[in-house]
Amino acid sequence: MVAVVEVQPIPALLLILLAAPLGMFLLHMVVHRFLLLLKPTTSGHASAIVTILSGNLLVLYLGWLFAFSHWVSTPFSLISGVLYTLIVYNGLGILYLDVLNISETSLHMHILLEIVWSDGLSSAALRERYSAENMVGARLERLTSIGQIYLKNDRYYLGNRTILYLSRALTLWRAILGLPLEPDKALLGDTQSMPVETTINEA
Amino acid sequence: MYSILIKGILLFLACQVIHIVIWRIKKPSGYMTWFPILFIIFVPLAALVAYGLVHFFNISGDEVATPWLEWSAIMLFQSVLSLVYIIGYTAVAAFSPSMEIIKALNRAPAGLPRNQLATPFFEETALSDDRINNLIKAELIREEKGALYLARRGRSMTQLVLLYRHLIGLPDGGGG
Repeated sequence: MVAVVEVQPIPALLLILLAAPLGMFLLHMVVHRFLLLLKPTTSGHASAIVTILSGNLLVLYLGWLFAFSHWVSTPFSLISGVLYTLIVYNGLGILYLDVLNISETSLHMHILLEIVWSDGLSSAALRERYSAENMVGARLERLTSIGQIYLKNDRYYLGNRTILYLSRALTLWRAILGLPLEPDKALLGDTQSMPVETTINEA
Repeated sequence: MYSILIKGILLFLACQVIHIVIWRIKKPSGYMTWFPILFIIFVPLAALVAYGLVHFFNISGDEVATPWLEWSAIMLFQSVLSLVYIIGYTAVAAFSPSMEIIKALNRAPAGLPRNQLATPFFEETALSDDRINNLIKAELIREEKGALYLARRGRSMTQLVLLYRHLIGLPDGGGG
């Protein structure tokens, strides 16, 4: 005799979402290795983004199995359930990227990792590795790997504009909060005041 | 279900309004000030407001389970959005070097050579003796005969991050 347990949709949905970060981590392990086979230079960020985006389909499928299908006769509940799931799941995805950032981009964490990888490192050598020049290089590499910029004839160009739009949204939010809109101009060097005509002529 | 979504959105927006009003009155100066303020607004205060929304604000026509379940669903929504916001706020409070590169390239349609992207902005973010001394003071690293080694606290933290990197398949020496 088999006992039939009726699944309550809202608790089921909450459980699916609470389990999502573990699911992202496991899926990321598979996706990163798979993408490395296709492109050996795949970065952790690129594979994490693919993982999180593809995870939407999996979460929506599980949501349908255990929750959404109960609300077919009430369209508002169905739409709300899907929206709720997408917002919470993708929010968790951003938090997963933050965890990845600790190991990939956090300066303090990276200093600790460099010391492990080098087994005793002088502070002079460490300062050299984290010089302004090397930090620019690491960021250019990462921005290139996720398609935000590209290199052509020894010059960098803006590629995909996602981060640019994000930075504009941040500027708008700074204005709403009454915070400064730009860093100290002296720190921006020539690129801040460079007229567009000059750079076009250079090309 | 739409009761949960509507109340979740209203709760998050209400927290943002409180946040904006406080910032407009007096801007918190550093991390040690803004982080606790944001945390109190978006978590404990929000939990109390969510309790009120569940018990005193009924949206008719929606079938919701128990009040406790509704409160849990609203707080899951609120907690995730709040954590994303509070972590993301570091990019609002301080300027990101990567975003400054993107903005510089946007101002230069003909592109820029690498040497024009290494602005003094990066000198500010580059590693200094102060940062190394901070890590020594926090007992994460120690210096012996001019070489740096991990202290016990730093070792356990680093092992956890290394385990994560190895499970994902990220190479040693990468990132930065």
